[in-house]
Amino acid sequence: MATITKGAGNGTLTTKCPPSNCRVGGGYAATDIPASTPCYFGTDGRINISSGAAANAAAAVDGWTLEDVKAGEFTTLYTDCNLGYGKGNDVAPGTSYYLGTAGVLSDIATTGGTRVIARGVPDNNITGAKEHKLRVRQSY
Amino acid sequence: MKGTLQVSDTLAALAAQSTGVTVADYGIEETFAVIDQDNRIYNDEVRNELLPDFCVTSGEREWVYGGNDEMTVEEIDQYGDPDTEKVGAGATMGAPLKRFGRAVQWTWDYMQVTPVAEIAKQYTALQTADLKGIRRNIRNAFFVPTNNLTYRDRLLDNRTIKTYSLLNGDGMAIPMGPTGTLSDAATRTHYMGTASLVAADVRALIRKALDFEVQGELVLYIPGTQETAIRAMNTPGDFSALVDVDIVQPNTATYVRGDLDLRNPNDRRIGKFGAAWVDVRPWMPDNYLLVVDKGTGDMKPLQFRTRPNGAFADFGLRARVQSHPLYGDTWARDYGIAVRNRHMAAALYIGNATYTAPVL
Repeated sequence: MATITKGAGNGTLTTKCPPSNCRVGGGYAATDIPASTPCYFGTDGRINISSGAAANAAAAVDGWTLEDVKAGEFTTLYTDCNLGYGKGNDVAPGTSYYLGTAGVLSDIATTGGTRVIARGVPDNNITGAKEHKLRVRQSY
Repeated sequence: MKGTLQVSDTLAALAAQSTGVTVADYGIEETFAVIDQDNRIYNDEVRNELLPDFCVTSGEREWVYGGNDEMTVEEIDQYGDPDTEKVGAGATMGAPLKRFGRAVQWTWDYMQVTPVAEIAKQYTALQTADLKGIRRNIRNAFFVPTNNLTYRDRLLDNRTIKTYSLLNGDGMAIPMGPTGTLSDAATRTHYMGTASLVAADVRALIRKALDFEVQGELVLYIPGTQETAIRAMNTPGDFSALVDVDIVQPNTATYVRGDLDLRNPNDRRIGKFGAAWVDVRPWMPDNYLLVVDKGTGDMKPLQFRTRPNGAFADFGLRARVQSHPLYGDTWARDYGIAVRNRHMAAALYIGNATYTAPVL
């Protein structure tokens, strides 16, 4: 299994003005959560980082964060949009990604992450270093 | 860096207090009016200063290129009449039309707390990206030695356009030289290589342009990494340097009239090599030299193609979308750059005897 490394900086939403339907909903973060992280709603309504370590409730992906949040802060989860994954990331275009451990992405299925939750989208800029993006979705 | 401008991105937010007038206070419409005004100045500079160096700017997408072929005459007596001859027709070549752009988007909160100056920085970065894109496409046109004969004009009407590199030995008819000499179109190439740069290589490169009627200023462009090597080629007839006019030169010195710019060592004219001025430019790829006849009027090495009526030829706002709390702009320019006169430039690769295009 290869863990996909997030690059430097706050990548976040790269789709311009996605439809309202991409906005899943919000909640208070149970822990510190980085941007572009798959998350699930706990039964207490709080937002937790998804994990594919086991086939349990934590393996659900309700949506993705768009910014870094601290524990206790309110955040809104989005889905079915493109997210940046930071400068110098090792996302590969056309590659499927699964839920790894604690919000990290894996390029092969894991115990709890048996479905594809993201695909690599190419960066087509003509002048700078490539910074490939993720097309993200839910899984439950 | 990819992403959406949000409150955590503002310098003011990081510093925990705002400085300067925010966009909300100044007014969003007023802010973008200032940005539009600045953008007009930027586009004027591109149109009047950058492009005229190398490009004919027009909506013309195809033109005929090629030179006069040769005919002969024979003696005729009172009963005779010569047989007929004819010259070959020129070839049609063209330029593509593409769109290059970028979107910027922000949250409503970002606009409430962000100083106008911070917004201006984002749009200045957009302009810089556009400028870099134009320069890259200019370099592509000069340095990539392959033709594209199947380009589909998708932004217009799907017509197939043939775009060509500089002369590359593909057999297309070549203009006649000033002495009436015709080059062999099947072998003449303006892409040269050398494993070890010497003065003879530079002379041969410049000669590629001198074999034709030079229309304008002849310039040898070099990267900064080659300045020392070129300066060392100072045999009479080769390189002569510009000097600092504030420094009195010895009576026996040989130098070029003019003033050496000491403040921009990476972007300046440094002298002459034979018939060509020598310019150090930051956009030149390492290990490559380029000689260009900058031409005049319609005789220039490259074409900067626009839409037929020039629409969208300037870098500007193409779409503004609001979907609260997100607001987004798309800025773009429609253009294409291709070789217009294949004989008016030549490139030399100094990493190998066989030319290889640079990674651009």
